[in-house]
Amino acid sequence: MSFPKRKTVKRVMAYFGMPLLFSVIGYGLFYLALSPLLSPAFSALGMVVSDSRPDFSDELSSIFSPPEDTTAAPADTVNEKDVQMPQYGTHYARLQIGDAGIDADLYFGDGPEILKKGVGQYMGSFIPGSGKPVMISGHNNGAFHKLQKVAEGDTITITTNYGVYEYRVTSMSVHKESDKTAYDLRQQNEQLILYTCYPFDMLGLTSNRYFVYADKISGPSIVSGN
Amino acid sequence: MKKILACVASALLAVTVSMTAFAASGISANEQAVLDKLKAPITVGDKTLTLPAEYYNQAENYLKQDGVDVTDEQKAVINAQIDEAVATVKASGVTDLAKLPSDVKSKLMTNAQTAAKELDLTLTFDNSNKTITVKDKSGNVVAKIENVIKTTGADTTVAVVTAATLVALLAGCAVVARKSKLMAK
Amino acid sequence: MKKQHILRQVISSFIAFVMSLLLFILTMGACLSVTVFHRDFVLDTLEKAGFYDKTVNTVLDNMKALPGGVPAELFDDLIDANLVRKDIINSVTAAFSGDSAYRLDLQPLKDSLMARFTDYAANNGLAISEESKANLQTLVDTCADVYRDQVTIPFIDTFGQIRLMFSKGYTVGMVIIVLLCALLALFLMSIRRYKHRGVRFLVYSFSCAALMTAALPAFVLINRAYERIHLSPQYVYDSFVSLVSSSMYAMLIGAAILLLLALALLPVVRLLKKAEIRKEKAAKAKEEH
Repeated sequence: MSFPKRKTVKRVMAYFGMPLLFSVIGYGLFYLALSPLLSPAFSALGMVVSDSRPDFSDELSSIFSPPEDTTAAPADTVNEKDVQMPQYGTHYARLQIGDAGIDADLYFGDGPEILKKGVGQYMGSFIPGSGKPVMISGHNNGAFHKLQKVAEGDTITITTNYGVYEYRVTSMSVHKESDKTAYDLRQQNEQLILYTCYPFDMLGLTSNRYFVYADKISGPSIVSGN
Repeated sequence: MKKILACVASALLAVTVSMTAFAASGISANEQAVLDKLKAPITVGDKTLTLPAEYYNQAENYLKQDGVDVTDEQKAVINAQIDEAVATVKASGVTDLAKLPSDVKSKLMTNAQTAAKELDLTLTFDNSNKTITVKDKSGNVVAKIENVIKTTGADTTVAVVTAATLVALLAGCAVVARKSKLMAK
Repeated sequence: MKKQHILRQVISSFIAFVMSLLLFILTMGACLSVTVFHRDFVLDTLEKAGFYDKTVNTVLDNMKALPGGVPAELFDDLIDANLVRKDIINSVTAAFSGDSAYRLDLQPLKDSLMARFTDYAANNGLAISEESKANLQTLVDTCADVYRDQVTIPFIDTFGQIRLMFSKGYTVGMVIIVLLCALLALFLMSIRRYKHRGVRFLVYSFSCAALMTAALPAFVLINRAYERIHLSPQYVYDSFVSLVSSSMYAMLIGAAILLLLALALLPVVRLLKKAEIRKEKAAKAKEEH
């Protein structure tokens, strides 16, 4: 290559090389200067960004199929490997209070989209058979409108794929929504706690909630498979 | 209260779950070890703080899911993250939400983010009912950060902090407190 | 002589580098000021994402779901997109101007709700006791809270504070940067004997600024991480995604302008070089005479 041509090539390379070099150094400087400020922001942002786009479908799934054979003697236990743990928004059982005329689909989770369809079990409580509290809510102008008719001694039946559970109502009471003494989610007893807004059939809104408490009387306990 | 709990809850919730190829339901020994660590009270000064039952229970419910399991290695990592988050809270010596230093909040959030990323968890902020949902990489809900007692229709109360936390961190500011009584003494 | 040449090259490179950083900051600032930090841009983006109409639906759904003992029909036509648009415009304007005292005027909504509830009670022969009155007021207040929660853009106050910090320094900052760039360009030209070489360094500056300005939005648009952000409901997500992508495209346009300026300087380099060659030839010829 002749000298003038080499010079031209060098010059052309400089038009690409110099900006590239400046860019690398420039971004490096900005990174050094701004990283203490930006890294907590990126940490936080990283928690709300995942590998896939969000799913806005509000369809609720169902894993519930009523048991076919209701004549067989109920078992005392059920292996946890035979229990399909429901996920949020899954219809997994049926709740019935014959005396009060309540018959509703029971979902795992209690978001607004769930309470439009049936009654919802709070995710911070447990499914029937766990030996721990089961907390279920429903609309007082929907599935739980007749909760006001429930009386002490009434039987509440929850039918799941893995067993049929019965609870006897022990008491009812009214509490403020912020009153944490109304329920105990740490207890190691299978207490069924139903609640809805209170009062019923009255114009207006209050911060009161109507609670119905019931103790388990029958149904298989979920035991470890090991 | 809320702040500490919200930050700790975010961190600890994020570290309690993982996905592996093993299909197992129920609580394994490793998962129980993690749950026991979550349940352990934290003493800060003369106050004893515990994770509210609703968060612990949500973690337990998620760990019972089919396909969710914790290996020995994951247990070690998760417990280390929990220990770090707890140590951060203890070292702050603060139990009053308003006085939690911004560097502590930032540390907890980074801790939560590291754990969440490691375990493929994402937080979803729902503006229509102001709740934060923790989801795994399959989109399954791990936990919801919201009030326990709903309005049994529409939960119009503003739930927890973490949205404000994210905003504050995005602005490079300290975590902003929101309402929600979370800390049990 | 060689030392002087090397020194001149180093100083020229350094000046060009600093100028490229300043041009980068100037361009990014300009892009932000016409996109995410521009009130009308934000509002137009919300409009295109259907934010106002969908907010109406969410508000009414949430109000109807409240167990207030009133039929859902009482909430029909309570609010419309125009009202939501007006309130959102006011709250965004207040946030962007740092007006922390601004509060949504919810009284007309509350009055309308109370009137509907009391009319319903009267038309259906329902007596309103003192307790009912108080409960109805709670319902009205809760409905107003639902409305306020939904028309308040998430994170707008904090974003407004950031925008305010930006806008306070923006005009002065931009003027200073332009002046600095002009001074640096003059200084660069003054230390170069052959002016076309000085202009060559200006080409490097503009090219570098274009590359730096394009790199970030190109990465974001290719990576599309912003589409994987978990915000809901969908109209909030769509609004955010639209804001981010529009801002990134604006930055690409800024980078393109810088690149065009760099390319426009290339013929200037050539012309200056030719002029200098002619000048030298003329001077040489004069000397020989």
